[in-house]
Amino acid sequence: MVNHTPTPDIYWITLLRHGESQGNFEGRHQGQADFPLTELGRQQTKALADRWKTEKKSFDLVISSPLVRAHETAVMISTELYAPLELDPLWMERDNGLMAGLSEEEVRETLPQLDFIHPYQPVGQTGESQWELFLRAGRAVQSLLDRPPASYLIVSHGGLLNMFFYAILGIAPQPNFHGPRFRFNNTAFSTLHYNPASHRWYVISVNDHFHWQPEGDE
Amino acid sequence: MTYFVTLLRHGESEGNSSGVIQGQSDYPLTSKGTEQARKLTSFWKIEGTTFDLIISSPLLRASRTAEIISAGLKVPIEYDPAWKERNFGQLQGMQLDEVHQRIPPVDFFHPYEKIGGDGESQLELYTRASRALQDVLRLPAGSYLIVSHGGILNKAFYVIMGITPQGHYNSPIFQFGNTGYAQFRYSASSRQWAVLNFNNQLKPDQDQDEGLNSWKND
Repeated sequence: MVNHTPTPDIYWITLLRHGESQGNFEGRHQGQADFPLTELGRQQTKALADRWKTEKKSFDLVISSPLVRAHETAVMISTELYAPLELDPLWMERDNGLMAGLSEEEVRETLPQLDFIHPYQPVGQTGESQWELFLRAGRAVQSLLDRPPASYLIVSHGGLLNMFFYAILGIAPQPNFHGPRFRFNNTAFSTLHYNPASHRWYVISVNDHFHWQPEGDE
Repeated sequence: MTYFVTLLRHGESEGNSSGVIQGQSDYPLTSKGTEQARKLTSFWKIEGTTFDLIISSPLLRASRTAEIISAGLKVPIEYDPAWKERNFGQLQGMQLDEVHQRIPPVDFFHPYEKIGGDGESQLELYTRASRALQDVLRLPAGSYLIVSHGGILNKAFYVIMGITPQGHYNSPIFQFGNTGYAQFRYSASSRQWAVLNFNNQLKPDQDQDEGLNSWKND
């Protein structure tokens, strides 16, 4: 991949999911429960930083969710690539209410199973609904485009980044979490360009994890 | 009942290298395009990626790409004209810069407008892509490789995402370079699409800047 000096007036946006966390490793619904990176998560992040250094990739600013799994990922990348780092809670994962930190089994045991979930229904009884998450992703898009055109790296989470894609592609949340699902591996990134002069979004890549080929991960 | 669908754009053609709007006019692969198809085939061999069936546009640049992959991975090919590129009407065979000189720019064009006088409108292309995709999902569950073209593959992406063409091309562009591909999973039981990845590959010889010109992607 060739390194590029950003074209003036074009936003270069890279969306990165954090490395493997302790919660991922234990198969927990994390939401806003805070789990640090595992050793593997740090290795994945290092592999990505090495790849980007080889590709001479650079960012004007790194913006990260303050949750520790994203924050740790962002600190490693921003240090290796000499980019400034800001934290913004808009980029946090979905508040999943009473599901936070629970395993699949614990969720089944403690929370009622619903046959139908409308998009306005709080997740995990007290958490954010699909609409609330979508609206927050919309505010995140707006906050990014309130900044001047430049090359931005966003370090965030699978749920929120899915709704970021919905917001830019023009997809609305549907009942039962129906609608397309974007898969993001740990430390996988997606690349977008936005040209405000034509209001055109260019999807360059989704879930690029060439630096870390999975072995049946999710 | 799971489908794996890979949408692949052909390798570099003579029309690509000379900057011509190809549409349904026929141009062979360049030697670089042949090489791109070979490289992808050996990458997929190493990765262990294979398919039950290749479905290809009969246009030379796609069918030749499909044949190279078919020979390397030992997978049968079927040709389906539904996967041909958009009919660009009188624009076909014109140089990109010639178009801007010969055709006066319009203030606005709607999604039903036939391109190049008698070509396909955005909506016609979108409906053709829907039908082509529908035919794939009427095959038994399996792993399918579609070898096609940038314009129609963008519309197939729209169909999967549930987004519709907008006036003045004010809708997102999925940036397929030559031999760029997107991988999807469709669960027939939950009727849900997952985007597994898009352009998750190393393309050291590809200039991403070409993507900012929407014509060249078609």
